[in-house]
Amino acid sequence: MSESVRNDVNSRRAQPASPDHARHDELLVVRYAASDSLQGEEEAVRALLRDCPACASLAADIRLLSSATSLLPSARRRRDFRLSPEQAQELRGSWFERLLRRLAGPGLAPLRPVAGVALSLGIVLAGAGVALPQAASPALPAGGLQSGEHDAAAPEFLASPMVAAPGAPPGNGITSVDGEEAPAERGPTVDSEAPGDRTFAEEPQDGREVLPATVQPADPLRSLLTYGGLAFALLSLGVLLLTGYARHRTRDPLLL
Amino acid sequence: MWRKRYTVEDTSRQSGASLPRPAGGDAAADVTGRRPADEVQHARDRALVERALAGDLDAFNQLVLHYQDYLFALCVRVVHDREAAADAVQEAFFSAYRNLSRFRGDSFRSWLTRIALNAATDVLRLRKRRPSEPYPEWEDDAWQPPADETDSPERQALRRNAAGVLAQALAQITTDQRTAIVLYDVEGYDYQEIADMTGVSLGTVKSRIHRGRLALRALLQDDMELLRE
Repeated sequence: MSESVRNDVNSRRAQPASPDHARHDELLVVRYAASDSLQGEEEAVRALLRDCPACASLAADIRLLSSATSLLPSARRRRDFRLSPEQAQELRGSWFERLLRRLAGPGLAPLRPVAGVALSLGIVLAGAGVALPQAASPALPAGGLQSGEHDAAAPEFLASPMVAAPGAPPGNGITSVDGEEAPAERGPTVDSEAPGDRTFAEEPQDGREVLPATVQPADPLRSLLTYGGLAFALLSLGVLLLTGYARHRTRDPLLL
Repeated sequence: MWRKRYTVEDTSRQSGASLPRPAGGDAAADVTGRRPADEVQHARDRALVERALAGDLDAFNQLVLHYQDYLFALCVRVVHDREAAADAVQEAFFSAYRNLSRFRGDSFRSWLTRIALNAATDVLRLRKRRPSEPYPEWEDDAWQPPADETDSPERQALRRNAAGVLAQALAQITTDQRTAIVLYDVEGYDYQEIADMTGVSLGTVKSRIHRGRLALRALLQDDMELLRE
């Protein structure tokens, strides 16, 4: 320890303790001795050290302690901590453990937030795809379409009657066990000649025919959004689960 | 960076009675507070880490050679048991090797120190369940007191005695306070580095150091004379 510190301590030691010392904030003095006084504290502490010998002695002791602590001897090592090849092999683990460690490592750390955002985006896209038919349907008139109007409103394939392939047998081509052909079923046509068919065309009370909402074109954008978004969300979820598992499996409490 | 004091975080320090620093001044430090020696050390460590990551065990063992004495001395001061400290250091190197790919920090030494401190804390936690001798083998030759060739045998004995008394007192304060004091006073880390290593705030580090010193002073009330020798 330095000579100046020793002299300082010895000079303070000789002074009697102030009766008010018990009320003094010792931490204030300790902070001052460590040159860690906060703004505005320093002047107050200097006054305290001038008036209270016990505080002055405390400050000197703290400096002495810090000086002495820094000179503490070191323990001598008796063991060599270098790793043997066998230990290293064991610590490296299997290829799967190495993969998990790589997944959980800081290099791929941005993957998790990105996958989280991608999952949200995929869900939103799939939701938008599901909601799209309502948004993209042509607005029907308040009373529905007149019988003659749906030629213009519906796509061509809906407006024309179902046509069997050339050479196809009449009916639906399905024969029963006893060889009797089943009667042909009506396809999803909007056939004004069959007003009795209420599956696809209804007769409203005011006599106009209304196209049901189920008869809508298959929208490729809707499919793309729904299935694409769903696949995107599932992929992101998979990445999230895998990285989460990797973090869990490779968690090392010593690194926390 | 280590062996560096009074960085940006220490601007609250006031002039006046400053403590004698074990690490010397910062005259060689650049504007960032980093010293050329730190840069050389970091570059060496990074190169060794790269080689170790590529599968070179010798490179990792060179890192072990560089740091095993330092880590062992640190752990002994924290856990006050050489066997337990050796276990903690071994665990720290195992963990460092397993997780070498996770090292992204600036200082391998700081990273390793943090791992070793966590290992030492684990050891202490285990020891609470299985109490051992409070202080081991201070008088044996396993300790290296700071020797001064010019010191007489009597003076060396006095120094040894003072160091023993101080170490006994250190063993009686709380682990958090002891760790902070050892890292600051003995190892020369600054407040911010200790905060980073121990995962607490800057204010908590300062508080631990100040309260620890106050506790040490209370414990050594009757032995301060020894330290003055």
